[in-house]
Amino acid sequence: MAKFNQKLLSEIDNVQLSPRLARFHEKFFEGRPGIASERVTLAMESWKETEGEPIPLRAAKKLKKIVEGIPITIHPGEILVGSPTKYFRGADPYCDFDGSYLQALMAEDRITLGGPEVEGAFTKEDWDKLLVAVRYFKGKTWTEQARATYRPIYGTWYDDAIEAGAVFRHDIWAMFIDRPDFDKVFAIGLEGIIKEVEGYIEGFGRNGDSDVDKLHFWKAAVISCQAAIDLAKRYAQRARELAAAEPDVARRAELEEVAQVCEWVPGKPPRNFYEACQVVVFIHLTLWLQNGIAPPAGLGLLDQLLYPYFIKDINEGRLTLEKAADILGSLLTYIARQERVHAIDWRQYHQMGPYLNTAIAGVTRDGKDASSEFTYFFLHMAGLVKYAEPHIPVRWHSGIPREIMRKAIETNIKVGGGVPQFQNSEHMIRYMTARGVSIENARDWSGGGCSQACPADSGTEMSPQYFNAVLAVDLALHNGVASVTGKRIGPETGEATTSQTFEQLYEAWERQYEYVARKTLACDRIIDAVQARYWSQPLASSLLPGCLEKGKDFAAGGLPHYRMWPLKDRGFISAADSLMSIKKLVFEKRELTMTELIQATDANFAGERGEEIRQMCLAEPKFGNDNPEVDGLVHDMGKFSASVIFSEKNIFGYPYALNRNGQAWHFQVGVKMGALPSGRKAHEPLADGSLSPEQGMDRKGPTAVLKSALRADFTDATGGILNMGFPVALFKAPEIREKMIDFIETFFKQGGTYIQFNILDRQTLIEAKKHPEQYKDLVVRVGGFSAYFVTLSPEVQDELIRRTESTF
Amino acid sequence: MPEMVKGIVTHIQRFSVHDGPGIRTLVFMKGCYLRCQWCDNPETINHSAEVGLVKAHCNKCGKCPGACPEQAITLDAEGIPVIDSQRCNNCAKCVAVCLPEALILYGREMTVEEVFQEVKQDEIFYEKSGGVTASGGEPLRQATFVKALFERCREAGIHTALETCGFAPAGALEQVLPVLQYCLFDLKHMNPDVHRAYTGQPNDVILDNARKVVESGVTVLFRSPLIPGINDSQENIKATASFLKELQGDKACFELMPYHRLGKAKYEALRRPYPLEELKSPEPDYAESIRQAYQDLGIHCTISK
Repeated sequence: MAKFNQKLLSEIDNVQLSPRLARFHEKFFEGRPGIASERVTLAMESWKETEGEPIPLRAAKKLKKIVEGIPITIHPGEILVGSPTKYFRGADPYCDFDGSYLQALMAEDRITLGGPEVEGAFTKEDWDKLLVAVRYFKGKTWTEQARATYRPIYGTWYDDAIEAGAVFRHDIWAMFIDRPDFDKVFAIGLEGIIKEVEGYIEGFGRNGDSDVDKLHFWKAAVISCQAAIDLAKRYAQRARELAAAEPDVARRAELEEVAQVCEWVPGKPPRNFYEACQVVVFIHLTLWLQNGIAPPAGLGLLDQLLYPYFIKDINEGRLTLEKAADILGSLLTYIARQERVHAIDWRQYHQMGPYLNTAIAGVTRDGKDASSEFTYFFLHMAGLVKYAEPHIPVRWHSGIPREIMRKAIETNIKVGGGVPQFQNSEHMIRYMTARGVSIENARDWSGGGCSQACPADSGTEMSPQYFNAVLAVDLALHNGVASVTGKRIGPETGEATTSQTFEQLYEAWERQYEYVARKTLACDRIIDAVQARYWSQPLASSLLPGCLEKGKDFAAGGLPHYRMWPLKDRGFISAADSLMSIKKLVFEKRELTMTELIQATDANFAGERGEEIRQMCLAEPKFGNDNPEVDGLVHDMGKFSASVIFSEKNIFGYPYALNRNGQAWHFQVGVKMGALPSGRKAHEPLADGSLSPEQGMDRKGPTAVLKSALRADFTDATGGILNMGFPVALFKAPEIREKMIDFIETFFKQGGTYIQFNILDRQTLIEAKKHPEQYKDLVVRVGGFSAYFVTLSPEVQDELIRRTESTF
Repeated sequence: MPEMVKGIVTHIQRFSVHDGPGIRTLVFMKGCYLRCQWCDNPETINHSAEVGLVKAHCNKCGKCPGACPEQAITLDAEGIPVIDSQRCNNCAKCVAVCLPEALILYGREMTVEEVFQEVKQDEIFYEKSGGVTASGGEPLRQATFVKALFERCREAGIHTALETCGFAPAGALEQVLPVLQYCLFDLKHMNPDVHRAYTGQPNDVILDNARKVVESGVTVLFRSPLIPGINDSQENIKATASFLKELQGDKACFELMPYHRLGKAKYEALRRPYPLEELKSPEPDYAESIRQAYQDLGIHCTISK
């Protein structure tokens, strides 16, 4: 294809993993991630000093205090600098965000990170300091304030619904920034942004304005932007100190260059590729230090952003491809290194760490193919460093160059699971424009987390809230009571045993689902309103459209619009498989009575006829086999859910959007739930992703799975995650890789939204489970989420092993 | 009515990527003239339907003996069924009661229209290059059916391919050729005696058909299972290469399918002894060395799977 410089592409193909990046990789996997206490201790000191001041100013001063006091660490060999903790891989618990969560974790005398299996390492000193912070913040955070606000209104209902797995705990969540405005930072630097804000401050009194909150917000924005600049200067200082003591001439020169770069950015606009990448790190790092729980979940479209710097430096001979590889590889390593100590609900939802999205390819604002040699380079480097994160959705469109798709598959094979993933950009654009987003801003969408997406003029991701379609089946079968907890969650829709027809039962499902969804959203809106008042993110707001002009935080209404506030509705596959068994066995073939079936599932298929009934359930049609009847049920349930959710509005008056994502939701919620009429036993995982068939139930191969997925038609949502496992042997021959590209393209041309491949062989997984020490870098997908296989719990590991053996 | 022609099909496999261009649906036709000792699809050898048992899937529910009108099924000490092949008449009543699908019926009668509807399911994936591949067994054993199926497919714009061992009665290949677009043709051995020893038939008909299919202008990919010690001698490689050269000249291609033992479980399911018990799956280097030998003789040679 003429579009690309073929010589450059073949040079990129020859780039190998440098010793520097290989050392980082080794360091990444050596030992346990460290748990630090410095950030939260500084946050506590600042919070004591600023008591009684306006919240945005407190947030800004907290950041300033953190930036001035946090240890500045430059690890051996680093050329891109910036580290949220003193550790190469470490986490600082966010007690300033949620004052009650850490105590529960510390009660076990250990602290686990993203996944329950990953135990953090800590010193006695850090542990003691964390205890002090935990005690201080208890009762003082917005999350506790939110609970104190909705509980008097809704009693224990919300907590009961969470316990049953009906919904997610929304009050342990902050709004994420998905897309810091790097275009602006690259153009005018943070100094330019400060100047802009000072203009607003100056104009406040001059023009007259009744809303003094704006003034507080702007002051907070200035302090926060300055903090990011000051943090960089501390790194410059540290680099100079290290350089002075450095005996190795080459390393000394590197450190001197680091000092020059950090002295310049992010205050001033970057002058080259190196500085541009360092801006990305500093902005990410400072955002995280301010927020604690929610660092950016996306970094925008890095390939479009960095390409001009890259190609100019390369063409002008100021940058070798080897150095560019070291810089980009360092950036990817920086992202992979980020860790979090999560609340229990969170860590099961997530399993792992940074949760960061760097979408690439796709089209530009004016609709032209956006991919470049740098897109190719980005994929190549992701395949060399082989980390589970960032998530790299390839924004597919019908004009995407074949070279990019080939490179993407090649990277997928190298990394193993789900890096990159494939997302249908054309669907995304249709989805956003239908919701009133302009065509340019829709084309320019970028990713957040695993599969969220935001238009260019919104830049955030709002809610992790999900509604559980499977639990609604349980409620419909038990007259509104969750069978495992025994607590009432839904309305009394009547005893299922009195249903005369399947339609009656289906209607009960609809009523249960709708009731839970609407009531949950009522609680969530209270939480959102409390967050808007009591949790401020001035730096993030300074880097998002609209907020500075309006003088408002993005959680409080500062953005131009909130059209893509995506709620999650999940579990349709397991729900439809369950209802289909009932339809066939109870209402059509009349081989079982409703009582027999409910008794069997309530007893987890124990008892005399239990296993027989389970086999009968398993033999009924399942989603993923190109079966119009059960696929149609998924379709109808999805459409019904969309109609309920689109009829509700967020706190800013926009109808909610939908994101059918993945993550470890199916596992977390599966653990909470009893046996299902689909034949699934109690506490086993539900179907993963949002469109994947139940584990091992797809018996007609990948094309049948895609046909089912298309029939389900999840175009009402973004995401619509479909995970597929393929044995690695399948990808060995180039001509078969071509067929896989055609396979993806056919799916997208027919309206599919999202697909990702786990490329692995079963034996690899079994070996990895037995000898985790030898497979530390094996990446697999759990739902819409990449993780290191060895860090997953044995149940999730077994599930993945089952997946590879049961299908094609 | 050609669409009402019936055939015996063991299995229809969608998303096949190793059997012709693009993404294909494979129709395994039951019945074969050869008795190759390395056969990895033993369930397709006999022409009529057969009941098999995959023990690993059995949940020991104990229902099958009662379902058998011939009293051909007893349970062993662990509760797993044992089928008496003498008594079993393959009526498949046991298969109907087996929910975990441990008991399987290999082979069912289907009309051309029924098979076509299955093939059509994946139409959207054929757009670029895929289509239907008739395989087996030996599909030419049911040439009338295959011809009618291919006609139906061609009408619908679906690409047709045939996987054949080349051994078929006079006229069978000619029947299919006009509606065939791609042929995967096996050349298992060039020596007629060796061929007969390991497959039960000589190779003269096969070589004849090979010429015919090339002359017809249909795209052909010749290939062969690669069986250590049986068809990997220098002599056979040379003879195969010179035959290919004679047919296809400089464009001669050959695909090797290295021997594997994955079919063994199916022999167990069918209560048949595995013919090549002593033979081990070859190392990957071995296939590569044979491939190189063909390359050296001017044949563009590849290794499958």
